[in-house]
Amino acid sequence: MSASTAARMDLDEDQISIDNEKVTIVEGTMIEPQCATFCLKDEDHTLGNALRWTLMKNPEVDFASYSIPHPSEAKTNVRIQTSDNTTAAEAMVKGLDDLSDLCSHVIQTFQMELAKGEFEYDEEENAF
Amino acid sequence: MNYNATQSTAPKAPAPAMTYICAECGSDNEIKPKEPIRCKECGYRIMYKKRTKRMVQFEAR
Amino acid sequence: MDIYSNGGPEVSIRSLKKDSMKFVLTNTDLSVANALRRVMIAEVPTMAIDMVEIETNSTVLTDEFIAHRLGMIPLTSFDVDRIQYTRDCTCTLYCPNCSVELTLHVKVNVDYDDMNDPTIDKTRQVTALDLITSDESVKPVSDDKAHPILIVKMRPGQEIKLKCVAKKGVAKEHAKWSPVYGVSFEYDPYNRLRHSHYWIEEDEKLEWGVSANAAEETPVDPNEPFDYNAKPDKYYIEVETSGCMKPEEVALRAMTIMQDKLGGLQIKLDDEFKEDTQRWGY
Repeated sequence: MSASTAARMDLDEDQISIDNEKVTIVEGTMIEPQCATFCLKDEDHTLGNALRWTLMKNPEVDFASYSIPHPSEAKTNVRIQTSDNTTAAEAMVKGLDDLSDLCSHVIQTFQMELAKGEFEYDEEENAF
Repeated sequence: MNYNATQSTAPKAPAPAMTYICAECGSDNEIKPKEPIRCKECGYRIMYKKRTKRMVQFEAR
Repeated sequence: MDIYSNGGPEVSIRSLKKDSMKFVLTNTDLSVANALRRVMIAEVPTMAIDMVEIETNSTVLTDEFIAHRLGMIPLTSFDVDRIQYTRDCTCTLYCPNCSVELTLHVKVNVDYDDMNDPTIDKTRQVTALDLITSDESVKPVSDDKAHPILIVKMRPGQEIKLKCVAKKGVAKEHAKWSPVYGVSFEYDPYNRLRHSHYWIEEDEKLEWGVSANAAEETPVDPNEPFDYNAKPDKYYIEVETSGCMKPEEVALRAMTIMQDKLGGLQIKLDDEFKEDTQRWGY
């Protein structure tokens, strides 16, 4: 078995380990492709609110909102309604992409800022 | 209730003596079941159980 | 895209110390800044003692009391990526791939010469420095060698012997896994947006001073009309770590974790919609 096949098998196993119920569409909420309520398992305000914001930034999205129906259930519902130019699922993919890009951007700017070193620095011996 | 059921005909294992610590004088006392709980040294009637010799496991939370 | 209006989020680090960092995040939404804050507090994995096997304990503290105290000790976790979550590990209980063992054995001998001398302090302070780790990269945080973390005090004749199993975890499960002691988060120090409603006796200005961060913003002119469309866009964040990893590491890991969450969702969304696109004929 080549190394790349082994790596791919590992990846497959990883994907199986991700919960298959991670993203579902709440039954009866997708009357047409332009609207849907997605249920995200094991997610909370951390992702929900930021995702809601990126969704709302999409001009094709008419409505985007999130809620946590019950505090003792680790579930977040995200409602999306779009114009006819796209679908709720497409908007969701774009929302996730945009937020991911934003995170990369923050990481990059953070690392650049660290590299510049234009800040007050503690001269103490580092523990690591 | 059938009381005979509990009275097994098989010979019972000899009752093991347990060692307790007197709450008054601290001396070790071997006490068998049904024996009076009373310190052999000072007559005190409160005893402490000894710590188990087994390893005990806890969740650190 | 609009999330990159004015060039996207900007970061400006104000100070960076061994266990704390101040930075200003600008040009982004409150939800993004809050996500960063929340991930730093609750979702950055670290190592912490999670199981304690006690063999002997004749100290004045109960077994569970000591187990709880051990759990709270911060452990250096800069190498945490190398360690697996026990639930994902192939082993049955725990193994070197998903845990680190620390042992503690202290026995205080009775010194009969000093026993009756009240001027000699015979108390033995058992601290985090007495813990012996099986993995040098995971050991109790010890910045201040003169004041290490106290576990229990012992008197002559007492003994404690135990084994700890440290595991990888996140603070969402238990706060002992949090890499931070605190994250301060402030925006709009002049309360221009009126998100804060201060409790006052007579005068808000007198009773509630402005924070140091106010120096970076223009004061509110009492005559200017309230701008109900205004949104916060400058966040003053300070991260103080437990010493388990560097503060900049916590922030960077937090953003990476956020990306991982999104990546996982994208994969699952793709799977979900392979069939769905067929259903709707798209």
